[in-house]
Amino acid sequence: MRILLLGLVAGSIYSLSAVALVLVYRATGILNFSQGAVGMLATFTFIFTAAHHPTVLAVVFGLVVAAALGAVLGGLTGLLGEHRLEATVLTLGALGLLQALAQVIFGGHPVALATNLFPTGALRLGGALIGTDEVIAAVLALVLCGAVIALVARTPLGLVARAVASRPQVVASLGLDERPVLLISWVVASVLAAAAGLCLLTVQPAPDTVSLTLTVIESFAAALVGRLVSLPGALIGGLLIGLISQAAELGVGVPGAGEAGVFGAMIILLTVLPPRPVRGAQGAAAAL
Amino acid sequence: MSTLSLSLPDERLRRVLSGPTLWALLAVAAVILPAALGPYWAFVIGQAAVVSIIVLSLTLLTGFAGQISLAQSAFVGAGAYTCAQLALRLGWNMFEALPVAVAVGFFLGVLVGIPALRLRGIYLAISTLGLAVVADRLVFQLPQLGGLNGLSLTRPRGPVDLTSNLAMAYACLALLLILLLTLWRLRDGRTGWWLQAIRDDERAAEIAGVDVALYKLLVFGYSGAAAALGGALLGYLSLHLNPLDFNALSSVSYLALVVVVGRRSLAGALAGGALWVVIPQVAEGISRSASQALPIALPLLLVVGVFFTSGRFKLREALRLGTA
Amino acid sequence: MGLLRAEAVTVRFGTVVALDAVSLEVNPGELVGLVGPNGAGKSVLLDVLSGLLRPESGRVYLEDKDITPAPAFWRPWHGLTRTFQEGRSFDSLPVELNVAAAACVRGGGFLSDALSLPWSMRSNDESLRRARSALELVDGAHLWGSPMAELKGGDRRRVELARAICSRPRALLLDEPGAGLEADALDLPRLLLRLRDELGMGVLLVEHDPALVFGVCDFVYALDTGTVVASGLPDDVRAHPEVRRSYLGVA
Repeated sequence: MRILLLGLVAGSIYSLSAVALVLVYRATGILNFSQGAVGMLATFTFIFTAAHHPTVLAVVFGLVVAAALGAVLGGLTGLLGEHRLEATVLTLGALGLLQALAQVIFGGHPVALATNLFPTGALRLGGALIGTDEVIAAVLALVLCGAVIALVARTPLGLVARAVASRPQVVASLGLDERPVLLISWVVASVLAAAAGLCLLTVQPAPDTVSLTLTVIESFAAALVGRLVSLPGALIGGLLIGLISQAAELGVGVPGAGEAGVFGAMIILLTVLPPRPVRGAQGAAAAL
Repeated sequence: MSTLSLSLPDERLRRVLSGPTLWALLAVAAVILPAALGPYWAFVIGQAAVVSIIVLSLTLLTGFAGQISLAQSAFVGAGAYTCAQLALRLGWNMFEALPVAVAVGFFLGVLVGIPALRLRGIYLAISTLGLAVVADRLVFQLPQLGGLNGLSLTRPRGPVDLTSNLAMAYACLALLLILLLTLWRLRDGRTGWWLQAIRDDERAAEIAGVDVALYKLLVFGYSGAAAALGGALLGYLSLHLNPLDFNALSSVSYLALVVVVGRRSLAGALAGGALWVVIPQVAEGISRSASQALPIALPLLLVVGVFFTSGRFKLREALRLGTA
Repeated sequence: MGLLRAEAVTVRFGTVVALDAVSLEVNPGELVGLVGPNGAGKSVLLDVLSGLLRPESGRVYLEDKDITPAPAFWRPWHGLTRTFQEGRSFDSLPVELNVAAAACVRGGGFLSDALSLPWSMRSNDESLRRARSALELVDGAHLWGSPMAELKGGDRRRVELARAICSRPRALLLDEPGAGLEADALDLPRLLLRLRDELGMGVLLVEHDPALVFGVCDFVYALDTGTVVASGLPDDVRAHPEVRRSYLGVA
């Protein structure tokens, strides 16, 4: 039962970052390898700011950092235009760069949180104990996912975003400039990634830069459930990956088993549910 | 995947570095420098040689055959840990363990190659990264493999005594030379033609009679074998294995390195090995964050390099025009 | 007893029937034309014949041997090659290696090339010899040594053609070799006749240009929406009412 609860909590957070990944991929055809790193930098900014300043300020600062990074990435990849593979390699470079910068700025050791972001406590659900903060974080993550899905489905901006995702040539021929939409996608996705990082603090109060950076792999695996283009799919995928990850880690008992479980799920998903090619980006399966 | 092209460094480096005079100079330097500069620098040169070997494994895989891999750290670690385990449990020395490590690398490479048959480009990249993470987080931290404390290795005393840094450096350089020669011959032969054909257009390669699936598996296998060789030598050079040395992000660094120095260039691989050891040495002189100099410099070069792909896109043009 | 034979080949993409029990035959030393409007299924048929696509039903015979399950890369080694409509080449290889890669000379592999073993060197030399000969046959000998990037459209097709004949196949499938080229970029009629007469190849030519097909081919098939609507001597096919309506009307 505890596995189930923890899995759902972690899963909701993975859903959030998966949604962010899908947002960018749908609009640009780029797989943002550095998303986890952006979230990581925002989270560490929060931790270090919260040590000496009001929590709210620290949160805002962290989100602003993420937004700024997202804007920079969006701008740089936008300069590359149609060269989507090069842009993806750029995000790979950004992953390495941000990770190394974080090591220099924040040091390499795990840092403990001075103050808690969410109210702590414990709840008893179905016979197992779960932290109040974890539940709040999970609910928040899911609410954010829902908000994004609703935004894309219902608002005019969301309509343009969907149009850009599926028929970019039409958008161009209508005289609409897609670049603000792309930039917004990048910024929103980065802020969501930051939020995911902050929520993850409830599960992992003393994170290290590397493990947060590498959450992009969980995000990707989760996003695969929606074939990288479906936002609701990403949400479901996140929960699924969270469950698999916790089940593997706690069930097998060996540290790192969770990663292995996620990796296995990723390979299976890639074979069974290949990503939908977007805007000329390559599909996963062989073209022969 | 045939579109990743940082061909400007490729072209320039190739023209400058393909002359026989340069290779002759390098050969002379390789023989003289380790002896002349003392044991510390012999160690550093050995390190450079080992990293060049790892880069060459990517030159083969990504440069020749166009397959992207972020799993090299897993192969490197596999080579190192195989040797350590053989030493620990069976008492084998380097000369006995090295061939086994290379074989293990080949086998693992082929295994990774199997899903690679169906995955392209970015999906292959993230899958191999996932594999590197599993190797890093699960396999290399298993208690049976020494856990977080790692394992030790000792250099052999016979039939050749490699206990001195100098001797070990020469051994690494010798193996690097052998690998360079074999890759050079490979590239100019039909296998090289076929690998490049696969890189450029898989469908057309099939139609030309190339067994694309087989050659992809083989190139992954040999790439894994070369990376494992590098890992094994790394272990015998530094005498201690720490799972942190084989972390998943070092794969990103290796790939960044091979792309920056010219992923098709054999001479570039040597430059890569040199860069890998020189950058921290220079950084140490400047500030105390030397350990992060390399992880910062390489991705930075990669990001900058992506904007300078010749014949594709020029940053200057974009700035002038204001649009992409 | 034909050289290359398709028997009742059916291909479906989802609910769309691309080929419906199509049968076709090419004999040695014969130029066979395949015409039809866009979307008729011509390239799909070539994909099946060359092994890039598995038919849902039907068989492909090469010299009376059933090669339907054979993978695409097996076929050039046994005498069947093709070109592509969009023109494909290995852009990072120079012209001669583009051609030599398809020489289909039995020889070394990874290790023997790496170790420069004698039989490997011999097979590479033989591949280059065949490449030179193939380039000469397509009037492309002057292109030896050039990088592909320097070549114009007609010469690129020339290299692709050389690549297709480098292994001296007995059966050759040409997918709109003149597509996208200017009228005189490639002297196709002369090249085709040379392939048929000097080399004795059986050639299946998919073409949009009626003048080329009806002028030079010995036998013509007309395809429309996945079925053969007419087949026979060029003049007979050209006069066929179905063909006039569906193909010549739009050509």
